[in-house]
This record gives sequence, C-alpha cells and structure tokens, in this order.
Amino acid sequence: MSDNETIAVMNQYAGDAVAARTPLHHVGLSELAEVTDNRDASVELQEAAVTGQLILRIRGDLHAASEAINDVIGVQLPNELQFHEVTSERGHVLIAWMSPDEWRIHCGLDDAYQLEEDLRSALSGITDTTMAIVNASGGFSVLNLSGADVVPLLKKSTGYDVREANFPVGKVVGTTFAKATVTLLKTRDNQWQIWVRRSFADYVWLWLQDAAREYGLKILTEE
Amino acid sequence: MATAKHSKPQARRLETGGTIDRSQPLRFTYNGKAMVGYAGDTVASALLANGVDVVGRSFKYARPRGIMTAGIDEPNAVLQLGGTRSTQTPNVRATEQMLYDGLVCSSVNGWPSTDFDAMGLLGKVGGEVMGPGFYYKTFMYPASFWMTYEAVIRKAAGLGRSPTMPDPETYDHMNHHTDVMVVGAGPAGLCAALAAAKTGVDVLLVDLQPEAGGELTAHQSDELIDGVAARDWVNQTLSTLQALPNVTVLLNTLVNGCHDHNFLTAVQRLQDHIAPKQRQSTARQRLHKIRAHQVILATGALERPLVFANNDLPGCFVAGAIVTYVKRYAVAPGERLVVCTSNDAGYEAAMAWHEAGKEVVAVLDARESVSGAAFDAATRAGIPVLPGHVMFEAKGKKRVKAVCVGMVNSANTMVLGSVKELECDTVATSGGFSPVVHLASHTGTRPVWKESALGFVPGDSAEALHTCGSVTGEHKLRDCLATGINTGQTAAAACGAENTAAAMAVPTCETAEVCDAEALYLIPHKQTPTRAPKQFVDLQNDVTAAAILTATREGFENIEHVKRYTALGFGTDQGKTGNVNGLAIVAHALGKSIQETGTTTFRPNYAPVSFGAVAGAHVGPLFDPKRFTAMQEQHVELGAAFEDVGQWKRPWYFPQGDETMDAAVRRECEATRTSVGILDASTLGKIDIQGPDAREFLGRVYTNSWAKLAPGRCRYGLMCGEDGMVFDDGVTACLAENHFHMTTTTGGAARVLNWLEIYHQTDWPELDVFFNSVTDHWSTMTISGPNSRALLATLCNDIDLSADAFGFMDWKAGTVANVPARVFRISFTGELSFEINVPAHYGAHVWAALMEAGKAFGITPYGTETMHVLRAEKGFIIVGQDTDGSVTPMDLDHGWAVHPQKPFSFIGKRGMAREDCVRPMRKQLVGLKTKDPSVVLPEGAQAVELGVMLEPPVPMIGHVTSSYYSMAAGRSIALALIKDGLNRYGDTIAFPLLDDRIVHAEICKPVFYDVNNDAQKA
Amino acid sequence: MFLIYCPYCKEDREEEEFHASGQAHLPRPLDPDNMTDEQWGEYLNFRKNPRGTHRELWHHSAGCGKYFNVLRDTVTYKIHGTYKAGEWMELPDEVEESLHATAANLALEPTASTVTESSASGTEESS
Repeated sequence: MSDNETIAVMNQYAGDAVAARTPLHHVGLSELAEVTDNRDASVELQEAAVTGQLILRIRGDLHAASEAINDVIGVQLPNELQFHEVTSERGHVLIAWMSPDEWRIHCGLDDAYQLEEDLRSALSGITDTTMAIVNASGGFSVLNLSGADVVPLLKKSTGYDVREANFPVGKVVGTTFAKATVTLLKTRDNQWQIWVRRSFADYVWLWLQDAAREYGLKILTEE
Repeated sequence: MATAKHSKPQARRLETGGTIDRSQPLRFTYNGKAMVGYAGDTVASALLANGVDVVGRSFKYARPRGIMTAGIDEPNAVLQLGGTRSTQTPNVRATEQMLYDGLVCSSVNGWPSTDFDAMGLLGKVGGEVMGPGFYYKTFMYPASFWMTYEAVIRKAAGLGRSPTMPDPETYDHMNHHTDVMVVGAGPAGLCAALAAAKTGVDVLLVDLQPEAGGELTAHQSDELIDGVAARDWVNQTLSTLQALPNVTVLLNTLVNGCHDHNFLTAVQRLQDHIAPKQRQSTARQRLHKIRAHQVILATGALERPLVFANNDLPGCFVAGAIVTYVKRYAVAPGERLVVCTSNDAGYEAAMAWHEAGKEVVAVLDARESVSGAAFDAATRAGIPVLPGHVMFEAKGKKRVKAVCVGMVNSANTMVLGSVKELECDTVATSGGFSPVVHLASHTGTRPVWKESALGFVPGDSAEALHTCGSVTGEHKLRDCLATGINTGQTAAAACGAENTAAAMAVPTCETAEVCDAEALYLIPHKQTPTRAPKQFVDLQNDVTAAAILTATREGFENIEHVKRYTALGFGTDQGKTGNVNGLAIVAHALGKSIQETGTTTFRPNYAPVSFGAVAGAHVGPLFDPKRFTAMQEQHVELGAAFEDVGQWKRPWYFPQGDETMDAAVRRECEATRTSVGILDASTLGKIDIQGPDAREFLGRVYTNSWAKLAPGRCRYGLMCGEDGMVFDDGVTACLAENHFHMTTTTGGAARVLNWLEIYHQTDWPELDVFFNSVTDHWSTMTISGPNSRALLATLCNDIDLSADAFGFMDWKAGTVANVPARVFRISFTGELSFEINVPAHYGAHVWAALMEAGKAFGITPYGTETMHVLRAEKGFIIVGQDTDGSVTPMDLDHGWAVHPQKPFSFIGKRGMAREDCVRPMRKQLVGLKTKDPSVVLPEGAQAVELGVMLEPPVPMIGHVTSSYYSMAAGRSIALALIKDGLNRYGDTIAFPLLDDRIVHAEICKPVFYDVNNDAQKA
Repeated sequence: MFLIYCPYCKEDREEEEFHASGQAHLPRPLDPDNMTDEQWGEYLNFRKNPRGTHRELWHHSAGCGKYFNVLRDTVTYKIHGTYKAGEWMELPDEVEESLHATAANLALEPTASTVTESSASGTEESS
C-alpha cells in the first residue's frame, strides 16, 4: 500500500478567507503594542503569526533521511539540541531537533500540506527507515523575546542554563518554564523564541508580564 | 544609670567612629516609643544606642533578655516587625534588620509587657511546670490537656504574630548556573573568589551581610593586608571582583540550603532595608536557586558565649559583638565592662571598649598562663588582666550589676578559693569559635571534631565541595587568605580551568603571636548546676545546663534524644550559640569525648525563610497554569461559569440572567434532547498514532479488539492497568490503515501518552509506531440533539450527512464553515451527535459560525454539568467518577468491551483474571431509582441493606458515584457501585444520610433514557 | 535536586525536567496468562529498595520525552551513570569501595549484611 492509502494526510489550510487566530489573540497584543510603544523597556515580546508546524518523526537511516530532507527544504536534519533555518522559494523554513527521533518544522501555513506531501514522498523509499508526519500548526504559540534583559528574565523563568557558553545561537532545548513546559530557542544574540502549547500560552503570557515588570515590557507586533 | 540612659536620645552612641551616617537620622518606634537611629544601623544597634536593655522575655521562664550578639546567631532580639496586619512579620532578628525611616517594631515575648512580665513572677512555677521533657511528658496525657497548655504557653511566651491579611509584597525566584560558587565574602571567600575568577571560570560570590568582609568589616579591622587597612583591602577586592564580567556578587543574600549535586538555595533581601512606601517594583525577597560545578564554603565561624549562672541577664554579650557594636556602629552598650574569655578574642572586646573611652573593669582569662600580642596590648593599655580566673555568676535584675569572680583549676572544672564581686554593667564572654558547618552537613556528611580548633569542622563530602577559612578551624587571618586562594584555584582547576598557573600571590599581613585557647564551655559554679542560679545553654528555648544534666540522668544519652527531650537547638536560631556548649556538657556528663557524642543533624534551612520567598511569583493567578481552549473568549462572552478539570478551565454551565445552576442545567439538557446543544470538547486528550504496527499496539493497550476496524470507523475502548483496573477510556478513529486518532479523558491525556510511550520505549520497541499529542492542535466542538444534522448541513456541503452515508460511529473529512474538518459521528449524550474537529487557529471561527447558523434551531451551549447528566441518563461512565482505580471492566458490566480471545495478552487481561477480580460479591456499577423520584441522592452516599441496625460498625455495601435530576426521565437518577449489584436488579437498598434521612432506592440497569439507542443512531 | 545527564539530549539537566518512574529493567512477562497469581503479583507489586546502588527508570518529560536508566546510590545520591532504555551499564569499579567509605563518613555504621546485600543486588541485576 502506498503511504497515501495508509496515512490520512489532510490539507488543513482554510485559505485566506478565514483568519488564523494565534493563541494570544484574545489578549489584544496590537492595542498593547500601541500602549507600550514609548515605554522605556529592556524586554520586548512579540507573538508570531500562525505558521505551518509539522512534527517529523524518523527512525532508521538518519543519514539517508537527512539527505532526502535536504532535497526538499535545502537543509539537513539538525543534530541534538540544534536547529537550522533556511530561506528558499518555499519561503522561510526552520527545522529543530526535539528528540532522537523527532524534529519540528516551521513553514508557511499555506505550505504545510504540500511540504508534508513532499517530505512523505522523499522519505518513503528509504530502506529500514520509518517515519511519521503530523500537522500541528494549531498546537503552539510562538513567542519572540528580545532586549537587554531577556537573560535575567529567562533566569527567573527556567532552571535551564542560559549562559552564552551553554546556549549559543542555533540551540534549542525542551525544558520547564515556570510551571509550563516549553521549547526554548536562541535565534540571534539576545533574541530568543519560546514555543508553548496553545492551552498554556495564556499562563506564559501572564508569567512574562509579571516577571518582566522590573525590566519594562514592550509589545511588538509582526511587521 | 537607669535615669541616665533615658536622659537624651542615643545616649550610648559614641561621638566618633563607626560606619553609620550621622547626617542621616532615621526615626523608628519600638514598643510604641519613638526613637532615632542613623543610616547604617541595624535595629539592634539603634536599640542599644537608645539604651534599650530588655528586648524580650524568655520562652519558658519569662526572664528578661537583652541583645547578645550582632548577627544571625542572635537568640534573644527576635522582634515583630511592621505596623499593619498585612505586613507584620514575626521572628525578625534585630541584629540583621537594617534600620529605615519609619520602621515599627515591637518585642514578641512579654505579656502584658516586656518590662513588667506577669509570667516573670511565676517564673519558678512555670519552670517547674515546664521542666525538661515537658513536651514529651505532656503528650502522654490526653490530648485535651495539651490544648489547654498550648493556649497558655502561646499567650505567655508570645510566639509572634503572623500577618492576617494578604502580603502586599512580591517575591520571585532566579536560577543560576556557575562554575564556582563561593559562600561567604570574608577574607577567605574573597580570596577564593578572586583566585578562581582570575582563571576565567564563572564565579558566584554570596554573602548574607550587606557588605563584604565578614569579621574584618564587622570589627572595622585596621590590620594591614598588602599594606592597606583590612577594611580598605576588602573594598578594593570587592570592587575588583564586581568589575570582572565572569563574576556575580550577591550581598544581603543568605545561603540557606546546600542540596544534592551542588544545588544551593539562597534568599536575597532586596528591599527589607527600605521603608515599605519607598520600595521599588522589584520583589521584596528573591530566592536564588544555584547549580554550581564546584562549591567553596567560606562560611566562617560563630563565637561561642560562655555558660555561667545568670548568663542571660541583659548586658551579657558575646565578645565579638562588643567589638562590632563599638567599632562598626559606634555604640558602647554600657559603661563598665568585664570580659571573661578562654582565648585571645576576649581581649579585642576589651581593647575596643577601652579605646572608646569606657572602663574595662577586668579581663578574666581562664588560662593560667597567658602571653602573646593580645595580652601584651591589654597590659600596655593598663587593662587589669586576671589569668586563671573566671566569672561564674552574674548579678542583677534587668541588667548586669556585678559579677562573681574566682580562681579556676587548670582543668576548668572547679572554682577555687575565695570569691569576689566586681561591679559592672556589661559582660563580654568568649568560649572560642564554632565553625559554621551547617551547609557542609546538609547533604548528609557528619561534622568532625577538631581538638586543635576546639570545634566541629566539615567532614569529607560526597559532593564537589571545598572549604576554606575559619570554617576549617583556622582562624588566623594569614591562613584564611592563603587557604582561600589555594581553594579558589583548586576549584577552578576542577572546572577545567587551565589558567591556574597565573597564580595569585597570597596577600601579606601581620602575623601576631597567638596564645592557644583552652576548652571551656560551662564555667563551674560554687554550687552544682542544679543548685546554682540558672546557667543557660540555649537562651531562645530556655535550656539550662541543669536541664541537660537531668536529661542525661534520665537516660537520654544520644545527642539527638537529648535535643528532642530538652528542646536544645529547637528555636528559630537553631542553637547557633548554644549547641556546642550543650553537647560538651552532655559529653562531660557521660564521660565521653565530644567527637563520640557527636552533633545533632543539620538540615536546611540554615535560618528561617519567609513563605513569600519559598512561593516566589507562583501565587494568585500564577499559582498554577490555567489552560484555555481556543473558544475561551466566546465562553466568557456567553457568561459561562467555569469548572476546573485538571488545569483546564471548562465551561460548567451557561447561566442566563439570574438563573441558578440547576435551572441552567435543566434548560441545557432539555434543549439538547429536543433540538441542538453545543459543547466545547477541545480538552479531550488527542493522540495521533501512525505506523504499520499502530493497530497491533492499540490491541495491546485497549481491552477490546482493533484488528478489523476499517478506515472511516470509530470504536470505544477501555484502558486498564496491569492490575486489570480501568484507568482511561475514549473513542479512537481509524483514519487510514496505519493511522489512528485516539481520544482520552481530559484529565488522563498526559498519563495515557506516557503510558503508550513507556511501553513502546521499554517493552515493545520493535513495534513500528509513532505517538504524537495533538490535543492542542485540534479544537473540538460537539453538536448534539435531533437538529444537529440539519444544523451541520447549513455549514457543510461536502459530506453526505444522511444516516445511510454517515452512520453512527463513522467519521468523515470535509469542510465546516469553510474550514477543513474531521467530523466524528459519536455520541456521549445518547442523541444524534457530530464531533467537529478543526485546527485550533480556526476554532473560534467555526464555533461562531455554528452559533450563528444554530440560532434557527435555538442552539444552546452546554457545559460539563449538562454533559454529565446527559451521559448518566444513558449510563455512560466517567472514569475517575464512576471508577476509582479498583474497578474492572466486568465490574462496570462492560464485558462487551473486553476481548480475551485476542492473541496478545493485552494490558489488564492477566490482572483482571486474578482470584480477587473474579470472586463474587465485588462492587458493580448499577443504576438507582430513589423510591421518592424527587429526592436526589448525594454523590458519595453509602449504601446499606434495608433494615440494618444503624449502629457502628454498619456493614456498607457500596456508594453512589453519580447522581442528578433527569429531565428526560422525569425523576432523579443515580449510578452506584454496589456489592453484587448486577445480580440485584429490582432490590431495594437504603442510604442513611448525614442529616439523618434514610433514602430508599431500587437497583436497576443504569440506562434511564432511550434504552434501544434509537436517538443516537437516527 | 539532582542534576541528571540525559543520554539522548547528551547534557546535564535539572531534576525538575524529569519524572522518576521507579525500578528499571522490569521486562513485562512474555506469557502472563500462564503465570500464577503469585508470580504475577511478584511482577506487578514487588520492587527493590536497596541501600546503595540502584537502577531506576527516569523520564525526560520536559525535554526529549525519552525514558532511560539511572544508576544511582540511594545513600549518597551520587549518580554513577545514565544509559538508554534497552542498554546496560556495569557498575564502575570504584563504586563498591566508595559505598563503604561513604557509609562510614555518614556515620551510618555499615553492617556486614547491608554491604553484602547491596553488592549481591548488583550481581543479581547484571546476571
């Protein structure tokens, strides 16, 4: 049986007509952005628009799989605690290591279905290799944190070692964040990204507001 | 004296000297009296400057007590701080609390007042009532006696008042990782930190004081280090450290616990020194959680007071405290000083007193022959020194007036010859130094007695833990500096630093000639301890030498037992001044060495920590995560009342206007049964399962068979533990041959995923299958009721919704309100139902579209309560409500969901075949109809046989698990677990209730609506 | 608070990222149906509680989600090593000796029986 018959791949994109709401839609971040625009703040927070998110699971010949993935998105599978970003004709794609047999891919929301199909066909022929792909685009909030005091803010929130030597740009870890579980990435110097499950996004938002009080918090909206 | 001390403000403040800022007077009140101190004062130094002698009454004997030390070891000056019911803080040590303008404090011990204590008159009586072992002996009496004692003790002793209103302050936590952590910024700690930092490793230096330097700063030492005064060397070294990018310095921060694998906790007092009204938006206190590769303990040593008769009289100080008050705070807390010492430290107090222009009556040195620099300096200054003498008793009522002095034998066990009295108002004693071994002991290492240091030092630790400075028993400055540098470099090297070759030279300092200390703990009296005036060992708990000796006589020989019997070291000071003296007395009484006697166990925390710091920011709305679905905003707009289901907030019911819960639930039930209701079911756990072995795996974890479930179909399954007991249930859909969508209970989602993973990862890794949580990805809304098909048809034109094409327990992919959806035709209400799953970012859109289109049908949103009623009418179980971990599928009459013929021995199969699981008379799930249909049984009501005598013990035969009023049935309905219930349909049993009613009910099949399932299959 | 090396993430992590899942190396019996109640009860309910080295199953629940084994001393809490599910790790050579030394240090008065028991449990597990 071909993959298409054994797995129910589904195009989950509703098109432009239906707006995709981020988990923090109810907070009204754009109004808060206006309010905090002139604030003297050393922490800046932005919630990214809904992106395509694929959970990619592979066991078996990771070397061959990595080559196959490179053919599709133009970048190899990252190793432990690393993520890669690449921009190509299919747009900006990020792929992060999550576990020995799990990666997370961020892509355009409208590309998630096609990318899943492309990856499935690229990976399906590899000997002794098994895989799964799940569209989880609705499952997470993506929060961007920047500013001079992000590191102390993170130190108030996670027990993970965020010192430069231990957490260079390009690293990704799954860890605790206050009483939630998150994925933490360092995207640039002093720029971090938090992936948190949709249902915990409100809690993390409340936590960040409280923890950032002493530094000043400015809300940014996506350009 | 008594009149002089109140004649002018700060009468005991010295004209010059100290580090206080005389240009910044600070007003404060103590026990309602207005006083003034200076910036830089602690509350203790300000009280002493103002001539306050008595700061409290003792716990047991109600004796007047004064300030005794200048630091964390203070047993007496424990005050109540704060003027309001929300900010009042008990157990604040005056010696650690910095003064701020407007500070309000009061003594805690002393009823009706500190100066005149009613209990003081009863002191002797109280003392006898509360002899050693009081608590133990009291507990032997009936508990009601203790309640009486406790009320009296608490009122009389005054144990402080907790805030009675919410704390307006905030607290937080901060995590740190470092290569080397140095605890203590005295000379050894500073050197260790600098030596480590110079190799390039990360260093975290922590000290409990607002300033670094330890004793050098406290005593404002002018010893020369590298050619500059010690206090200046401290400041220079600190500045150097603070300028290094790899060094973090935390002052005002007390390391309280040293936990496994070098995890340390420390509380930083960020704002306690600031007047509440001027505090910033930062936290009052911050709990630091530190993980260090290497830990260096430079925690120093605490000076021991000597134990003598009436040694608790106000005016009796530890020698070092006198130096600190005079030189750091410019306060001489008296006029005429007598020093009694067993080592050189006492001389420093005498010199400071002398240099402040006050009279030193005498230095009594227990050592027969004394020489060395300290002795020479005192003699040169004209201070009378009496070698071989001790002070064995103090006299006075609320302040020392005189001391009794005599010669002591060379073993320091007997007072010889004639005795004389010396008049004085202040006493300073030094019995040597106890290294602060607490942190080193927290992970289980016992301290070791070091005879040359006359103190316990840290034992070898299993952790990467180093010690340096006087915590090792080395008190000489030169040794502290040298061991500090050495230890810093060793620790850095252990972190992999290669740069240790750039060795740091040991700072030069003077090396004065020292005279060896002698062992002296309890100063012998002319009388035996039981006949002499009280000789206090632990002042906070009123433990006397006599009480300790009584304990040993009563057979308590283990130091841990003595501690618990006498309460030695039990107070908020944890016996910092008294423990070593106490166990030396025990050792002596038992004829053992101090090493043999050993110490009690030190556990975190080293000193009391506020609850606020422990809780941090995890309070109020941040106490626990609140999880919301994508439709939360809409639920709030509809006025939903919410129910906690795990961390989720689920709509419980949707009251309209003033509607009661009962009325709302009846309305929601009726609307769903007659037209259409809508439920947010997004919180159900959802697991995507892919792989060729997915089907096999399902067959192993569910009790029923999955081998033949076709794509497009759904099936209900029960999951059991290996013990055969039901632990979760749900519907799983076959999306494609190797692809399944599993649903779990809301509360069981994480547990079920872990369950699948642990079996896959440890027992069955050969099965080719992947599990991924998609709980948060899918928004799930259930439309239920006879009009649900018609409603769905208005928003969905790409699925044939007819009963023939889309049957019960089918699922279809399609488009709902322009959004790609998976629609499951399953029912938890017994009505025609469709469960619509859409990506969560479209959830709010689809919900809104259903509500809009549903207006034509009077669509009614319903919550968990209505869901519970509707499912109970059909006898559908809720795991965790109708089951409790002791219920098998057979007990639930769910044998239809168990397929023991499956080839693999699925999880739960063997367990449910155990002898106990197949015996008769197990509790089984049944329905109940009360004889009076209007009576709703309380959930949890216990069942008994009709006519049974209601005298304990009454044989119980089961209990009600679910109970509601059912509109559909027109009567109350209930589910219950009843012994042998499945064989008892038609029997009547009784439920005696708390309000003495006895409700009769008939056991029946647990289906109260649509017995033939026509509605859900419509 | 332990510091635990995750063999999958390949670095030390704080204990709060993990959940302890009890004794390790408890394979599910292959033929439960033919076991007596007593044998089944043994598998289901009986666990070791050694003083000394112990093999435990831990779950990196906030991290990579993988289960792995921890070889830990229940007296000193020292972790001798961690290794992946399905793998085995021998006791480091110095471990038995350090057990004696540590017990003495902690004033726990090791008796012949405790030492024998813990070393015996080690051999039993490795057999």
